[in-house]
Amino acid sequence: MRFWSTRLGARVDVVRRSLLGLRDDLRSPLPTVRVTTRTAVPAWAVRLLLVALGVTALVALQPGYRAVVVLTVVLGVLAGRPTGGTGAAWCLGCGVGWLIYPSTALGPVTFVLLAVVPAAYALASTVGRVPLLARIELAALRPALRRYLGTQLISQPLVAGAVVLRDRQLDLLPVAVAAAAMAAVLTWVVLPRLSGPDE
Amino acid sequence: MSPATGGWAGLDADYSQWQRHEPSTELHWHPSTVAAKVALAGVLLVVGVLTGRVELAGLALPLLLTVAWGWSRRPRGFGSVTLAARLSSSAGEPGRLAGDITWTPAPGVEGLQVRVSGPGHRPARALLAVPEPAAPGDDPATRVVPVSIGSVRTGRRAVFLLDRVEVAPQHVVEHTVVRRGPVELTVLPRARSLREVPLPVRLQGLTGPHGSRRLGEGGDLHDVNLFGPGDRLRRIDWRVTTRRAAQTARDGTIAELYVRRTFATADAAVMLVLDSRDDVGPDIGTWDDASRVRESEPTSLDHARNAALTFARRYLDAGDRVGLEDLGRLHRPVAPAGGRRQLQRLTERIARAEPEGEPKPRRRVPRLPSGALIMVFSTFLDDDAARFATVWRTAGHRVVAVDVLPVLRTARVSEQLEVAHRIIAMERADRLGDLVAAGVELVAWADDPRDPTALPVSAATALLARRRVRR
Repeated sequence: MRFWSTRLGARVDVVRRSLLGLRDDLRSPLPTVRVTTRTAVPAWAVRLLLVALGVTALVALQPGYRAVVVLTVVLGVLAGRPTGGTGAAWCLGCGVGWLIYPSTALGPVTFVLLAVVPAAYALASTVGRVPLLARIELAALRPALRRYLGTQLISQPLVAGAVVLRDRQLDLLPVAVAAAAMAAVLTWVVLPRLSGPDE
Repeated sequence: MSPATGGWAGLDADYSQWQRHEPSTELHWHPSTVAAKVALAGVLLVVGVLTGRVELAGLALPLLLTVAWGWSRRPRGFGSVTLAARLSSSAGEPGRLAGDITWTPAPGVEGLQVRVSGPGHRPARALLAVPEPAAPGDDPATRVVPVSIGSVRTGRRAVFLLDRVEVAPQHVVEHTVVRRGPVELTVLPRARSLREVPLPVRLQGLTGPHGSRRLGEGGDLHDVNLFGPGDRLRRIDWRVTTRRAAQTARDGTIAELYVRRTFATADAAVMLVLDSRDDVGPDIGTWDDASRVRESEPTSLDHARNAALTFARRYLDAGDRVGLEDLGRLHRPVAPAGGRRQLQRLTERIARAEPEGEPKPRRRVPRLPSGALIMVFSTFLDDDAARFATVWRTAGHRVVAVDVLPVLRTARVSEQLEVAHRIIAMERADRLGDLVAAGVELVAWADDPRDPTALPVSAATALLARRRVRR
């Protein structure tokens, strides 16, 4: 009794009651406002998917240990703060790593990397700044999924064709110009049809 | 960071600091990190072309394509988002306050990011998808998203604060967070059912649902007596009249008329006295800040509202007259009256009763109709309500004091607070003892599971109904 009436005892008592209050909040936390959504997933699950895509890219890339450390840091930033900017940075990092540690042209690694790296960017730019405990409706990811599949339909064949032409030691400049024009036309025609009813 | 300047991290979700925000009139889309994305993708593309590594260009191509497409399809206008509370609680879910977010997206918008806050609840965040139009080419559809919180509280509440941001493709453009609300809602109190309730010492009037000791119309048989001044012709009992005539006159001539006299009926006048000056929760640690009371725990004022409406409905359904006096306001009381309209009037006044600033002291005891049963709904944490009840009892009214203080939790409080509570509890116990000694009848509204001798309200009121009280 005499201890609690002292100045030190009063401060200890404040800390003790704060901890007890924290324990009460953990035992009976405040309920959450109920928002009736369609089929949804928690945002932390989407971030786990981002991490999975990033790890897949690292495994496919098989860079050296220094590049692994750097790319892991970039992946950490991407998972912690998924935005279009961090997604683009992730693509740049993977590209530099791929430049330093090339893989077999037209091998499975090429197509895997061309698939998962832009997928991470597409996911990050779609769910950017959604808090971890938020819920994301699956229907909200559909436009981004359509765009991703559309760009994959364009970029994968283009890259495959360019690699074949390069291996045959043809002049790539006119091919690059033609490919860019074809890509622009396809984008203008195909992507709007994949994106849904907003025209 | 305020909502007006943008950013989710700076938004203050503390319910006690909610303020009504007007819709922003300067809302506009501004580019986000498009330049950075294009620059990074451009670097990758250039490196790929210069080094002859077309795979790197293949990594940059999807970025450039989607950014270009997103920029060309970016929204120019803003959709319509409204937030409204429903007037009734969710069907099948008593104790929940519901509302709706109605969203009509602008062309080009791909989603709506929302954060919905409610008192005593953690905010919910979601990314909502755009509603599909009925047919391609039709105007954007409207989507209604239900929201709800659980609450047993009553009275005027500010619920549902909505922060929202519309989402453009690839987030190529963004706008500042828009806040809507809080939406104000008046939650009506909930009435229990009571079978028996006490009546005043003296019933009034010549009509009503109760029997009276006066002679009049509509009640039980009093006697059969000679026709006298004031008796109605249709009350003549011809059978008794002819039988008496046959007994007294040889020729059966009717010389005297006999009438059946009945008791009159009467109604009860009941005055509900609601002490809305304080509003305390079951946790005494929250008595200094009402915003910390949980939504799942009714406060003393919630108990008072529910109790007042319970008795009002019970008496009005029986055909009696009920009035209302609010000690927390210096307004004219609601005079006793009957009927459905009176019930609606009382329900609204009871639901709107709430503390207003510092309670104004009342020197004069409110004058209430004579002969009325007075029911005082109070916590009796100070002397005023008890003093009034004692004066009314002394004046001859039958007074029932309904104790609406919740069952208190005194664990996890500081030693100083516990000592203060013990002093207040002892003073209150003395006050209630004085009330009982003065002849005021006491009923506890909140059920205390820790007290095995405590009677439920229905049993307590039934006991009062069978007790005879003299002036």
